[in-house]
Amino acid sequence: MSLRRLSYWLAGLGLAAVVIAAVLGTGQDVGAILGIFTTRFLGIFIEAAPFLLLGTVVSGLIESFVTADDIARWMPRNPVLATLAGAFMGFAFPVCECGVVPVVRRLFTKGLPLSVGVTFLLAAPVMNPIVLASTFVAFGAGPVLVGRFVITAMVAVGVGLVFAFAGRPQEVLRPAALMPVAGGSTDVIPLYARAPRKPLVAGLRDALRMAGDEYFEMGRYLVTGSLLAAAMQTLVSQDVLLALGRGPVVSVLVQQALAFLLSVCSTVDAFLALAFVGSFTTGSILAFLTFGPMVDIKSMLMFLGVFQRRIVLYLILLPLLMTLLIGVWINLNISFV
Amino acid sequence: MHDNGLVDRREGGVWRVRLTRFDRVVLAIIGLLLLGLAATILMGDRVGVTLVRVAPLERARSTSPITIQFSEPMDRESVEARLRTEPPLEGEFSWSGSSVSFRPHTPLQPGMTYTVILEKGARSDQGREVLSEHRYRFSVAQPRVAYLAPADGAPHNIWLASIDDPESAVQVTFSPTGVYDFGVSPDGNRIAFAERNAETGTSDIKLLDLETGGITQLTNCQDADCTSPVWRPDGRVIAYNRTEYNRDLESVGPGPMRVWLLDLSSSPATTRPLFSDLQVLGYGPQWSADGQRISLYNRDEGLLIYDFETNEITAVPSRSGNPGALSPDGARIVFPELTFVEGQETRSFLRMADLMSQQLRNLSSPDDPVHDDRAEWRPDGSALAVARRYLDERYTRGYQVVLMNPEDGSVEQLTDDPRYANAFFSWSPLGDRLVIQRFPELTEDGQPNPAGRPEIWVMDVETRALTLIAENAFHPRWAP
Repeated sequence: MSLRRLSYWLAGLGLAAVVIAAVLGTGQDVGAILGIFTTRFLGIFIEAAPFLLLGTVVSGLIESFVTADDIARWMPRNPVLATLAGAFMGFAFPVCECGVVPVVRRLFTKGLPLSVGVTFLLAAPVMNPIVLASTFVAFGAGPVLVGRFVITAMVAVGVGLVFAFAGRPQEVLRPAALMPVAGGSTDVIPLYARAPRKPLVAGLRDALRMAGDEYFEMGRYLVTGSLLAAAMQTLVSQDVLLALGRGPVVSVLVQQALAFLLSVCSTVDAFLALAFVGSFTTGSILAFLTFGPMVDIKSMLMFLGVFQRRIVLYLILLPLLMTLLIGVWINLNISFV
Repeated sequence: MHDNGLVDRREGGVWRVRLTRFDRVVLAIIGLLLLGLAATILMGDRVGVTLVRVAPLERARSTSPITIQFSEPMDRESVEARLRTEPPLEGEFSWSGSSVSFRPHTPLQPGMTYTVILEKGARSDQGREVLSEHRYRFSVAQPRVAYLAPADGAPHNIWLASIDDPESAVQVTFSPTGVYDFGVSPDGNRIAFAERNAETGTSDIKLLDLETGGITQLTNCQDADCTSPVWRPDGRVIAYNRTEYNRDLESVGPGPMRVWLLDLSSSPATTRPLFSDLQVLGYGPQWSADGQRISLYNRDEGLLIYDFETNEITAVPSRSGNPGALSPDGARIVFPELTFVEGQETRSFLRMADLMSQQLRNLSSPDDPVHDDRAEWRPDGSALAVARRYLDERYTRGYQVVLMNPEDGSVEQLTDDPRYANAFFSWSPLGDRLVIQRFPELTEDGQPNPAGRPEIWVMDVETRALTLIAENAFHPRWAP
């Protein structure tokens, strides 16, 4: 057994020991905990699965009917403008954080610039008409609605620009998300296949077939992410988290942790956040509503199907720190009364 | 990590990290973000704890509490030490989440302007501070009188009148089936009323918000009569009378009356019997000023006084059927008692039960030539307004109102007009006025008055001056 494999086994055993200790530490009946875990897992998975299905169908349609030429034609030449455009692509592809991942991966294979894809990935779960409506219903046309969209755009564009000026696809993406290249070389020479557009029926058939394949491929990440999120929700008490602190800094961290753990779909998270109004700072509620849709446990797992592992780490850290900074700054500098 | 960059690679037994240009850029940005975060925190709090809501603003009622809702849970002592009014008021603080309420011991003076001052430095539980002094002012409006009208027709609806300008009275309910009775909330902002249901013939308690005009149904008495709402002084609970009709049970008639409670602090409001033992019957609930005690009349045992803190019920024997008057401190109850003297008219006299010492004493004597009925405590507990009819040379057909000293039973005449019967009266929150329902039994020349209709009057107790508020109206209540 290689050293790496041995370390994986040890890590797995360690994790299992931690889980068992945490279950026993709750002092509750193991059967009851398992029941809660199962209910939470199904809740997360059933909520997210339709959105993943929608995303994979859109991805299939893109594969069938959108060519690399189309992408090249639609995208602004200026990288900053292109990145800005990525923030608003959610209004064309209204998908939540589960559905956006396969769409982005497919668009990358069609030659979508890296920065635009990353911006779209982070912004689309919030910057779409469905979330706009649900946030309006929950909070009305006030600072939370405006703040949610402005902060999401700022963070998504900010992270996108980092990728625009410093990222190279072959350093960032997994091979499955890379655009086909001539001769299979890793020194990218994009292969702009001038294939004719597919007929409608054949295209739809191909789109559905690819959607099915991709659903099961991305689904394993969703299942694993949902399992992890359910385990965290079961073993980490939300009451403890909420009691940890409500100050201008800690409240933001607590809400970010909650958003990450709960993994609630962005279409409904505004109603959950409504319960925190009055007891949590506005900056922390905005952090919950902006960081959660960008990164949570299940979407983090799904990112692994698109990006290399260290890039996934960056895609967590950069939005985390940016929303933290903005949330804390709001708490310390802006009065909403 | 085993990607192209940030690779942990063991070379000659040493773990090394290789950073690509992209990794270095990202790490630099992460460093900048951390620096920015540190700088933001070091620059300090420029907002502090904010006041989300303050009340009352501009206009207040004499019983309005002063309420401040903060943006986060507060250190209570630091707030209470920095919250004051000009002119100063004595009172008690109560907390609910991040809101503090200050209830003055005595009602606010109508016509007076008060300034509420919260000095800077009040701290939240997290250590944030109120960074600047906050001041706001409000003036106190004169209390209004609510009543039902018209007395000689249907449907009866609730009207509100200012005692300074009774002509400008406004109708506030428009029930096609009519309002049976009602109670005004202690803050004067809401009215709970019993409304007839034309289809079922039952009554339900509803809540009218005087600010918005919105009406909320509080009970669902499909097979019961729910009437006579009485507010607990903190405005969070309503006691009411409930009679079950038992229509679904053959050969079983309507049940006896019980007292039920409505909890308005939950949403929607919840209701339950006052006593879990449904064999404890009663009607006519009254609250003590602190809401700790409630009294009611039970046909078998007389007056029952229930203490919510100790869960104890004290019974005071009484045959009159009158629920009596519980003192504001909940320590005494005054009630009429009947006496039967052969060959004479049945009389009633007043008795007072001291609930602390369990002593009973007479406030008026069964031998006195008087007939005492309704009694009402002044809000400060210093006096009683009593409905009295003399049976000697001072005889009148209807009751007059006297002011009685609860210590020795001595009285001062408040009304002395034989043309009027004074049926119902109630003290204003300040205890300086009485609202009285009067019936003109006799015409000005002393003849019976068949065209008489009940009237609502307000008396200034100090000057004895009477002001007509409404004619052809009944069931008056103060709306602070």
